[in-house]
Amino acid sequence: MENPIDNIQWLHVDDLDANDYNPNMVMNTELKLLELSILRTGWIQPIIVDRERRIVDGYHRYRLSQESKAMKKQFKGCVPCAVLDVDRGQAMILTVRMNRAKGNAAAVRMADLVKELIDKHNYSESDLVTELGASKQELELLYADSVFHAKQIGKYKYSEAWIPKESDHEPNTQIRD
Amino acid sequence: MARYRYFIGKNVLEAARERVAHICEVMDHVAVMFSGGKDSQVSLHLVHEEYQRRGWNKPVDVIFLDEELLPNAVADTVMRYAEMDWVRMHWFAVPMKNSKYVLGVNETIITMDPTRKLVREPPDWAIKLPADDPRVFTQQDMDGFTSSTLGWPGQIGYVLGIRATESLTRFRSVVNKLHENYICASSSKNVKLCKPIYDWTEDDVFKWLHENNEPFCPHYRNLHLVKHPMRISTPLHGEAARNMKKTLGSDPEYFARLREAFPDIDAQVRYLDDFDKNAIKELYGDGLKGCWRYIKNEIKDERRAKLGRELFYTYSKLHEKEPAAYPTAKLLTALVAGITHRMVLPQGKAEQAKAAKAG
Repeated sequence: MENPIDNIQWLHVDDLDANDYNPNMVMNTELKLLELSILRTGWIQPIIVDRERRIVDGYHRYRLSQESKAMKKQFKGCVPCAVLDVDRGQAMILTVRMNRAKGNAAAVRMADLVKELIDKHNYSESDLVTELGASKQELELLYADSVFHAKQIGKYKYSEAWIPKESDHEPNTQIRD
Repeated sequence: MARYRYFIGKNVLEAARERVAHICEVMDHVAVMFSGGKDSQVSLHLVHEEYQRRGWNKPVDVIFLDEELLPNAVADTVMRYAEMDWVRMHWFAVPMKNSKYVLGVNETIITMDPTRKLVREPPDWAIKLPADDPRVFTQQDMDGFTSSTLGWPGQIGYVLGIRATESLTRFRSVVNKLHENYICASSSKNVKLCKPIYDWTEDDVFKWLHENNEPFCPHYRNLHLVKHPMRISTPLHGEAARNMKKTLGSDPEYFARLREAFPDIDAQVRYLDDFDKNAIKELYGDGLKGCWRYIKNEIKDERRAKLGRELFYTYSKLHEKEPAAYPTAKLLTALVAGITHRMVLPQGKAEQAKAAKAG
């Protein structure tokens, strides 16, 4: 099997596209730290892109390459890339796998991503249990679109009203002695 | 004589409508305290419904206390209501005391503090203090401050979305009185706090919203996703700050803005799981003396320390009377968790038995 890392290409950052689904996030402080790391050490791993040259992994390094004057100067606007022959669905799954290995994803963004994989890319919930390494319950929670749906509120009937009452007679629910 | 929860043979919606009608009958002026959350949203609609039933051709007065540290989705929800023609919104954006808890350290912070960059700016038309007014309010001050600022005469009823199932404190607040149990005193003589949906459950609230096709604050979907209790509150005080990781997961952009204003909350997210409570118990685990030393050494903020000392005195008396129900370890755990502003609940019978067995 050929490893993508065997063929690293230096591509111009303007020729790459961001993906719009990445559930991972990096705060500004960490972004600055990442910039410092690349400027001091140089590139230690490539950005992963799909055949459309859309980012699969390395979005924040891509963003820095676009925005940081120092990085543009040092690397002449180029970034090292490993190009993978994957479609959007496969790319999304790979992004999650790589993010999961690195840290936590924000739940709300994960929910949007899971919804798109199921609704638009025809993955079943059981496919994603395997592909994303998630539990069935986690997927159900992420895919349940609304609080109403999750609570099955349509079937619910209003509860019975109550007042506090003092009595020596038999009560229906005691609340305090 | 024992006090009971007495079911009255009608559902909570019918009962709440009757209570709102009564509030409108007996109060000289009615206003809804709206938080942007689902409970006060339902209360607001019930008041509006009653106004329509009575043929009152006037908007419903709504008060929003902007505590700054709220997700945008909450402020957007309040704004959506402010733009409705049946609502007259009074948006208060004045400095208020709040607290921040990071890894066992509690300190007072001021929301809407004009001396720092705000997490979120209030709208231009919000009610603010003049630049040279140094006042900082507490939550309790706000009943009096809002009513005097708005200048309504007579007895004013503030309608709240308080529900008894949310906490023991809230539960007690609606069973203390037998007559008009849902109309309670406030810190201001001319203001009564009215709680018409006190007996509703969370599902009752969502049922009403579903039935009436009313969109609710989108932040609830985020809270639901991270299994956070579906309550909107400021995120930095002791009890909420323990869920800071959930704030990050449920609303990352909001977390980023909070972090910009309060960079030390990072430590809470990174290290709370590693925070060594056992080490603290070893240092301060020698009963009431240890609790006292903890307050003295670890609670740097004077206001919180004063609250801590008051809690200590009250709890000590209860501990003397019923040591099994009020063990000193429970007080220390509460202090470490940043709880100084409310009473620590007694240990349940099962917990007491377990502790006795463990020796």
